[in-house]
Amino acid sequence: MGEILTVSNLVKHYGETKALNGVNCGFESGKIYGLLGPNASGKTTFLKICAALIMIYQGQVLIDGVRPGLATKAKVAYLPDSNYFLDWMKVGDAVNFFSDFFADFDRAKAEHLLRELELEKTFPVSKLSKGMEARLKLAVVLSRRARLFLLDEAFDGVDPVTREKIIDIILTTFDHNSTIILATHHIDYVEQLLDEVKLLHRGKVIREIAADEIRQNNGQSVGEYYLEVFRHAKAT
Amino acid sequence: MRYNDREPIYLQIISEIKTQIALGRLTPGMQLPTIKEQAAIMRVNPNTVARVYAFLEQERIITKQKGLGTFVSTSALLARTLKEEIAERNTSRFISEMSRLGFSTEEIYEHLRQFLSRVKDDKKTS
Repeated sequence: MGEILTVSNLVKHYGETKALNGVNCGFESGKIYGLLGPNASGKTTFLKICAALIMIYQGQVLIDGVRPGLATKAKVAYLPDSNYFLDWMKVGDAVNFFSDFFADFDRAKAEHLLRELELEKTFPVSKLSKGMEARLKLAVVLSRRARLFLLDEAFDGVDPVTREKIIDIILTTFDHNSTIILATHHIDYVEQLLDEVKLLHRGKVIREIAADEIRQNNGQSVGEYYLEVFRHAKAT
Repeated sequence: MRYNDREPIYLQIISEIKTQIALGRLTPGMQLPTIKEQAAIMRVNPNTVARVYAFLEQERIITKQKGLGTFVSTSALLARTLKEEIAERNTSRFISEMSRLGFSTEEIYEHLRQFLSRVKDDKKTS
C-alpha cells in the first residue's frame, strides 16, 4: 500500500522558536498512527501544516503526491484541539456548515453519529459542555469520507463512556482506504487502536515503530515505551 | 475483552479465539464475523484482526472461502487439539514457576495432590 502522506525535512519557525526541526516520515494508507509527544513537541504544528492551515514552512509535505492546499483539503479531515464552531450555531447548523463545505460529507452518517453521541440538533453550540463539544467536533469530522483524518487531542475532556464511544466510532469510520493520525497525550486510551507510533521530540520524529512490535520485543505497553524514550530524551 | 497492554494484541486475540473453540463456543464450520465486524466487537484495529485471521488460517484453524466468509475448520479433532495446547501451556507455566521457586518434581507432585484433594473435599462439604 502506498503512502498517503510523505514528509521530508519539514521545518517550521515561530520567530526564534523552532516548532518543527526537520521532520522526516511517511504514513501509509490503511493504518492508524499515534503521533505522540509531550507538550510543545510540535504535534499541533505538524497537523496544521498537513491540514493546509499553515502554508509557510520549509521542506516538503505531500498528500497523495500533492502539496497541502485547496486540493488536499477535500481529502483531509482535521479535528483541531481548539473550538471552531461559531457561537450563534446550533448543533444542526454545525452539521449543515460542514455538509456545505465538504463534498465528501456523508449526511446519513452524521445523523447516525449525532444519535449515537446523543447530540440534539436544536441545542446551542455555545451551551455544550466540554465533553459534548468534543463529541460534536468528532461527529462532524468523522462524517466525512476523507482519505486522511488528523485528530488532534480527540480525547481531551471526555469521560470514560464518551471515550469508549469515540473509539467505536473511529473503528467504524476507518477502512483500508483511509489513514488516521491520532495526536494525543492519552496513550492508554488508544493502545489497542494503533498500528504504529511516531514519537515527536523537539520538532523531530525520534522513533517510528509498530505498536505490537513494542509489546513483542520489549514486553512494554506503548505508554511505558513512551515514558522510557522520553526519560532518556530529556537527559540528552 | 480486556487486553494486557504489554503483550501483542494479535496474540491475545489468537489465544482468545483458540480458547473459544476449545470450550466449544465456536464450533467446527461456524462462520466468523468479517474482519471489520470482528474489529468492532473486539474493539481493536481491523489490521490486527486481519493479522489474527491470516495466522489462524495458516494454522488451519479457520478457513477462508471466497465470497462466503471465514469459518472455523471442520476438523473433528480441532477442539481437542486446542484444549491440549492450552493444557500444555498452563502446565508448563505452573511447572516452570514452581521450579524457579526451587521445588523438586516430587514436591510439585505433592503440592498438586494435596491441592486437588482439598478442592475435592471442599466440593463435597459445600
